[in-house]
Amino acid sequence: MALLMIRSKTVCHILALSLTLLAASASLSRAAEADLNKLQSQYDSQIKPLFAKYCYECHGNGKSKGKFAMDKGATLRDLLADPKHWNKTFENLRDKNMPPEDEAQPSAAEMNDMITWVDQALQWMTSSGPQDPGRVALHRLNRSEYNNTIRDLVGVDIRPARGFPTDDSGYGFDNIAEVLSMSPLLAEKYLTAAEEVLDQAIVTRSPYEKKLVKFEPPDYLERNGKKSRNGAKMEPGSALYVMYKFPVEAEYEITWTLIGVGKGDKTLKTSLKAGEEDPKSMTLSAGKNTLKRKLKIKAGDQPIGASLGKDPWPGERRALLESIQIEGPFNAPPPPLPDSHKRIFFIQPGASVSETDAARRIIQRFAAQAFRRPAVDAEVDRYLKLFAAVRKEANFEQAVKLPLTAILCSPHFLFRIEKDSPADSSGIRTLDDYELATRLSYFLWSSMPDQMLFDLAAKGELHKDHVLQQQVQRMLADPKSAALTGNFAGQWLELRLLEDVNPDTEKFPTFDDDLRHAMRREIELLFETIVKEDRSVMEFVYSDYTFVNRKLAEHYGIQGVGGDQFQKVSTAGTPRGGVITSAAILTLTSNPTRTSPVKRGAWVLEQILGTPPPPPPPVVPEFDESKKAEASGTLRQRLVAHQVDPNCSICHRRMDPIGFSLENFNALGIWRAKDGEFEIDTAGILPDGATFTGPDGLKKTLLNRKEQIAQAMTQRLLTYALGRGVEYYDRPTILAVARKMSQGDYRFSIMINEIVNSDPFRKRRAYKSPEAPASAPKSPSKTE
Amino acid sequence: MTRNWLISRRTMLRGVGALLPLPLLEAMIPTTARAASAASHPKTPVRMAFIYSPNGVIMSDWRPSADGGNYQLPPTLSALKKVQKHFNVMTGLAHDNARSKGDGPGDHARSSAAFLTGAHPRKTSGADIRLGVSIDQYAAQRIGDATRLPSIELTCDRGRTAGNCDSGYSCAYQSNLSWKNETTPVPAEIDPALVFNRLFGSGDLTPEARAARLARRKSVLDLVADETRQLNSQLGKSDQHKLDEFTTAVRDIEKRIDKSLAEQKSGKAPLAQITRPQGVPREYGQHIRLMYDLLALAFQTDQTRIAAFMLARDGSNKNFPEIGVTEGHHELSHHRNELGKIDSIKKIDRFYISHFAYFLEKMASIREGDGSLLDHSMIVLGSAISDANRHTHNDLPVILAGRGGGAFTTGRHILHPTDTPMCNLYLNLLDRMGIREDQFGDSTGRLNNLTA
Repeated sequence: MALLMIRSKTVCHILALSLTLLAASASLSRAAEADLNKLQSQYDSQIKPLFAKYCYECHGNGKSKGKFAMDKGATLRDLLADPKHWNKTFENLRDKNMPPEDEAQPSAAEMNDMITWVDQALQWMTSSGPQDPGRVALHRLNRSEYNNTIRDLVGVDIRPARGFPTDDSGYGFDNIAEVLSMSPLLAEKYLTAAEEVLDQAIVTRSPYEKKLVKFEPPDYLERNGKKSRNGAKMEPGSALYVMYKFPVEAEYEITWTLIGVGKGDKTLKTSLKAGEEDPKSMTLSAGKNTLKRKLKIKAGDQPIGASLGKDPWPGERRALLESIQIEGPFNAPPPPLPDSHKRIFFIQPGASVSETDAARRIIQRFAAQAFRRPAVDAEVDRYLKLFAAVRKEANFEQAVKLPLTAILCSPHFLFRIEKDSPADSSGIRTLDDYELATRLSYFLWSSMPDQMLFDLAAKGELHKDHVLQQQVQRMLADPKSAALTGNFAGQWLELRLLEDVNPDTEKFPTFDDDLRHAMRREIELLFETIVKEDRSVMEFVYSDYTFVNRKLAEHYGIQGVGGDQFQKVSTAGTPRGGVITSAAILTLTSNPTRTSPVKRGAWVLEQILGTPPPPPPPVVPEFDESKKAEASGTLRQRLVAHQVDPNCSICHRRMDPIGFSLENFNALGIWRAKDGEFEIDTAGILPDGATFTGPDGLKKTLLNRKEQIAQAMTQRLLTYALGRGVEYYDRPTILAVARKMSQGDYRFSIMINEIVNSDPFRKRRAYKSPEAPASAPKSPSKTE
Repeated sequence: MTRNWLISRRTMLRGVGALLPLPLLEAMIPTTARAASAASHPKTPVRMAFIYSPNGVIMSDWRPSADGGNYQLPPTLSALKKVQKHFNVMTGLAHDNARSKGDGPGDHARSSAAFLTGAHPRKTSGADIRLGVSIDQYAAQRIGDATRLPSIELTCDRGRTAGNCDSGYSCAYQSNLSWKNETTPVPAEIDPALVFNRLFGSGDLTPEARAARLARRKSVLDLVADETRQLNSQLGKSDQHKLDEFTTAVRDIEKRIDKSLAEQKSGKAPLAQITRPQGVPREYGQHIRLMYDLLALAFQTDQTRIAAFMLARDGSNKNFPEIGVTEGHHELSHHRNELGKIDSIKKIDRFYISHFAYFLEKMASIREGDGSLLDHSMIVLGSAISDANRHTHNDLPVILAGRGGGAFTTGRHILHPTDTPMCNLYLNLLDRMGIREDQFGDSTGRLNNLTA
């Protein structure tokens, strides 16, 4: 137990430490050599002996477990030439993976010293020399990106990825290149989806093809709409007809064949009918009588038939309706083609364009857009061959459809590809304008670049700073930027989890799907407002406005809001404003039957402050809600009791007080004065020691830590923008972005623009490993 | 290889969550076909399925009090009464690689990951994911050619849609049971309708139209394979690796198309006129049963012989309103010996077992060769965590149902020596699938007590 206590304390120190580090690191990156001298003196006096005592057993004195020795090289500069391993060291110390459990453990103070020193050494390592921009792996489109790309490329919005398997996520997002894997199941679904999409987009045959249909007994109906009882036989006054569905208003040729039977030579009068027209009366003579008429007939079900006059018949004359024949349509108007079809077939073969040329141009254009870069001739040739092969047995549209299907299954379409070949000597290259357009559009739209981005890339202008900034502005104003809300905000703030929360409806009868969706919509609208109006990101912590519809207003106890439409309302005099006290966040951090101060505290630490608490060790159960405890006080009193357990207290003292300050909100975020019969104590403490009371106090205290919050947010947004985990070498970028934000009222556009302008976003390392030639930070040679 | 199946009853799988009437299922395979298959097949093929049940169990109600063949079913397993003679309760097995081994917290991620791989996942939230090939995929890569689908992967868990998964592990470890190789997970299908399509086609095409479509698809894939090869030469090493996944996937589909085309020619294509299930049922239990129905059907019709089915990922915090459990499974599982919570978990344990019983009864009722479909199968139900309160990975709750084509003596509780690797069992299963291997995952040898 003693050992456990020490180790738990360590965690606590590290938590406190990483907070101060984040805040302090902004001012650290100057005067690299001075820093190195400082590192050196600390190393000699303090750190090296600690390493020797706790680490050399495996990582020193000739041993280099995991290929890492902590006494490598003649000078400190040599020792620090391996930032990757030092970063791993930092993480392992921070996450208490090292030293291993069964080895001697440093005291909390010693641990603190080592972590501080390694962190500062990392600062030095990452701020000197050329910055490593990192490397994004071959990036498969995820489900949302696939749906949007198909929508923008083909022009059909059928969300074909709805049946794809869920994309696995990493670093909290589902667009991480290294995690997005490919499987036969998925490849098969891509194939089926491509077919489904193009079936929907392209009309390959006229629905109005000319047909000849002949009706004979027993097809006929009588006047009353019932099947004819007498087959072809017609009596005086009777009628026989068929109903025919005419596909389109056009001309049809109708042929009636009647047979006059019986004695005598008097004629019989017959009326013929076709749709709304009574084309003709025919005088029947004995034997076969045929009438052929070309008539304009409206679309839809129309009767075609014949009737006999009521005049008494002389002798025993009868008539038989031998057949009715319908042929058509003739001169049908061209079918209405969907826009998607017109967009793909922007050119038709004809007098001046051969079929092959038309197919080539169609394929070339489609491929260029699908591949997000100009299509190479050799590629187009391959697709054209497929067209030619199919054309022998299919019409033009069908034959074009097949190569387009192949394009939608091509790795050039399914993956975002950044090739490695042309790197400069440092192993780092700037992305070309097409690659940049692609990164940009998947960042802001979760979709492919539009024509304007392609045009700017073709002209080689996109990378110019002012052009890029204009484009970012334009793209954020475009409705497609809703993807940033759904995908980034949905995952950063975990709004997507609302779909799965399942509050106990006996305890919370007001909860239903309408409320669930209203909760989510409120925060989406807040996010969209901050983006569109370029407001301060600190409004995520507190805003003096919010958005409610009738349902949510009732939930909040806000008067005078009716209807399903959301409207902007002031939060003055309410505890709302910002995400932390929104029903959405308060609900998704609650349990089905009660609030969870622990989850709420952890959520604020992770999503807002960027300092997630370590997960509970396995032997420590989550909060024990025993019946005995329930009777004995508020949730706070019960939780405090559990903080007495030293295994728990060390982390829970960090998480719980933040959650306690929100105890005036029940598990659905409804305001309550008391927890059952008990008073609520909303005093809170941040991990750095700041004290406050209630939700307003929490928000105010957080807003004293704006730069830290900006860093945390930047870290999340950079992860999402790049589709890779943030690494130690991204640290200078994050600090720089946050600093820029602090100089501009933390406006959202600064964060986006600075990320778009950063090396990690604009460049790419050609080697997988950062230790590969020349990409590790170089020693500044002058000072040698 | 003769495979005769004629499933052409529109009445089958009617509507959402249809419960298959068993006699009908049986009737769908004409007697002549059954006879033919028995005649030309001296040995009926052996099937193998792995079912993952998350978050361990309350062992005190799960473990039989006596071992051997004369044991009383414990309370949690009582729903299995009717099929007791068809399975073995296995205790004492362990998954050592689900333990932390210096990697800190993350037992749930490691449990899902290790269950079929016996491997220790590399701790990463995304970069350089590394685990190991899973037993089902390992077998599918060796004998999967015998059936149209080498294997099927099913799940009833949509996975986490936002935020981080378990303690610094990418969600890939927690959501996937099956791994093609060290780095490539195999995602599972969640929608019964799509599973059905995969097994029997969408059923809306005439045989001629179907053949034409297969031919078209083949020409598309030829081109795609070509293009992928070209692209590969222009990429860096690590990206090539990523693209290899795609190449393999494309080749896989091509093979399957060839197979379908050949069947079409020989007139053996399935008559896909069955009414397909309609999407994911709202109720969890219905969803599970529909998946079990499809699994039985896939085996019965020999569409595949290998399956993996994740009921829910380990660490799942699903609640069960249909049985009156409103708190989440994971939270309950840290019960701290509190009776109310333990009772809730027992209810969940029984819930999962009752659906498993439904599946086994169905498998046992389908006649095949000289016995039942279950007799020719090996169904493993288990978890890689035993006591979720303490995250222990030894003494796992495991059931091995079916006789594996007559090799196993069932109806017993088999107690294994403490910490016997679960992967040892996998070696025995591979034997029955006709794959001779002396090492898988962290195996140390075969189990020698499966035959009495």
